[in-house]
Amino acid sequence: MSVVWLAPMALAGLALLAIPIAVHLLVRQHSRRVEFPSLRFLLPSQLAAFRRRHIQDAWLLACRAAVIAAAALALAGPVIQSASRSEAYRARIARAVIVEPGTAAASAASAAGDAFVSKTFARDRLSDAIADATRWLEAQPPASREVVFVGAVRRGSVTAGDLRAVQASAGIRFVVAGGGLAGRDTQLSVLRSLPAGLMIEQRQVHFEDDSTRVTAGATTAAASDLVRIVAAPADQPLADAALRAVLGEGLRWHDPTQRVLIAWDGTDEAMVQRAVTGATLVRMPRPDPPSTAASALAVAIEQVTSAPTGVMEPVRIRDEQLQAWSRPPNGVPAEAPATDEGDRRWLWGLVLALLAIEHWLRRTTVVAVATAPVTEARVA
Amino acid sequence: MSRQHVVTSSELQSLRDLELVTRKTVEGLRHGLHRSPFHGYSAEFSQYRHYRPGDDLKYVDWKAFGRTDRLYTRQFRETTNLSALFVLDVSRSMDFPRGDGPLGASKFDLARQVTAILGTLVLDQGDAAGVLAVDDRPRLVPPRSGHHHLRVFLSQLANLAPAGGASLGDALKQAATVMKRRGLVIVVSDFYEDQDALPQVRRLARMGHDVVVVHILAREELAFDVGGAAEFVDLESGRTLMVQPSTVREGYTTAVQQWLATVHDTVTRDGMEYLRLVTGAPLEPALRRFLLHRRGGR
Repeated sequence: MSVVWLAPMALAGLALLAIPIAVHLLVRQHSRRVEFPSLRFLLPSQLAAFRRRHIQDAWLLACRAAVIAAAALALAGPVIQSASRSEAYRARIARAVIVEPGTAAASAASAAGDAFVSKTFARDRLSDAIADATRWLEAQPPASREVVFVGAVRRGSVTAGDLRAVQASAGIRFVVAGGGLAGRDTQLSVLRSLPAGLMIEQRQVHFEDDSTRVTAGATTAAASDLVRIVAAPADQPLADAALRAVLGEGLRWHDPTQRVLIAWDGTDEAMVQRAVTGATLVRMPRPDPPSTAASALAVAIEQVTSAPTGVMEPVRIRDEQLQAWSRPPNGVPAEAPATDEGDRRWLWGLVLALLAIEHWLRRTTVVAVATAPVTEARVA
Repeated sequence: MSRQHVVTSSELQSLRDLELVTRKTVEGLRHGLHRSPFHGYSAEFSQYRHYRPGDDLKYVDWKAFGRTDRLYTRQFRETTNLSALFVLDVSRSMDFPRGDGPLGASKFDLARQVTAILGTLVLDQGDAAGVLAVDDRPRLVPPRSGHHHLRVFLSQLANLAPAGGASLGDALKQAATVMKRRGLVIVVSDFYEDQDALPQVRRLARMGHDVVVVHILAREELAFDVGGAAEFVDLESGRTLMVQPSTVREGYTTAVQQWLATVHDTVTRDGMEYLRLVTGAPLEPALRRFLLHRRGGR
């Protein structure tokens, strides 16, 4: 067990011990003395009345000296380094918790754990949160440092570039909060060629974290001329075949009343103009090689018939990646003294207690003076 | 050691024409100016009383018998001398205010002056006077008469100096044993020990002594005109006390006045004489008034 002083210069304040001693001595030597026949009728004044050469004077002096000594020691900030305290000191950690917006507060609190000191950072941009957390960690007293990311950790929400901003001495840990991403549903309208003719089919799509489920729904008959394709006479058979293939698989068709006309390059313009009436014209080059005609046609059509669903496919960063990014914190620097802890608060408490005792002693002395002369001072 | 001047000759001469006479009858051994408690057969006619068998026939007033046909015996007032004992407080509390000032500067000086003056008057009129100095060790000069004793009396007074504490109550008990006959007891003190002393004073009065209480006080004690905080030192006990006079002056003076009234009432209630003397005040007029008052009460 040893004692470390946080502000050893304050120990010079012990020299102030000379003040109460000097005051006692000087008052004793320089106070005016008036010889009086009897103290019988001299009640002690309220402000300054005390018996000298009384044992309580010594206690009063000792108490005042103790007040100054305790105050000086408290200012010096002693740290008694016991084995248990050293062990606790080495185990302490400063933890910056970066919370993804929308994450439950309980998750952030549990992530802080039993940290010596912790703080939660919730910013709209992850880079801002990391910068603030880094600055905060650097300002903390000696301790292990760790940055904890709490959130859904979707793919793309955290990158290796973001993590490079975290100082090397700090550990990194991920806490996946929320127990998984929520599944989402959307509905698609698909134009499809069925044996009964051209139909609009409603499909229910359900997105899960790792799967997508599509359910076919009701079908309604669609106009046969919702989608047409025109091409040069030599290419028309290929175009028609490609359209049939596409309709056989189905096309996302957001508006059942929308009519589309696809015109391959090389088509007679007059014919195009005649056919386009009331339809959306989609021009496209003749697919080359011809085997890609169907897929090229599907892409071209869906550019005008599909609508954005607003649903992203929820993909979480893989655990292997999170594990690779994680790292343990460095320990508390061995050479750093435990300067942020101290036993000064106990000494300040002692100062307050001594002040109370000093007050009590003064009151006791005055009361004794006020009551004692009845018998003693009368002997004149 | 040179003999100190106890009392100035002018003070003594101014009072020499006054007789210290007692108001009460006192018992004495010699004929003098003072009334005897016994109705003896002396020169001064006192009163008639009915004849009782056994009375000396030479004191029967035959002329009265002729006029009234009744027998009366003449009684005479016998005069005798006075035995006075001065109980003088020489404790340290009397040594106030201290200093090398003129006569009468301190309470002790004033008390000694009063004792010397009254003692000289008593001895000059042929009576006996003694002094019991009260401090740690009471010292007694037994009451005697004569001019030689006057020198002894004054010499003993001159050699006294305030010292130690006073046990006035014990000293008054001793005075009761010294004064075997009823006489005059003059207690000169500041009476800070009044609770012990006053019962003994009353006891002396009940024993038939003519008791005079001379209460000696210093002007500074009454006015308490001390400025600024100071450490007050009890002259007898050495006990000290830090006092802010401005805050305690009113309470002090009130307590002192109550105390003085209590002492005065206690003394006069039992028919004793009370004389309060304060240092710095003219002594002669106060003593003259006191002696004239006692003579008038004769």
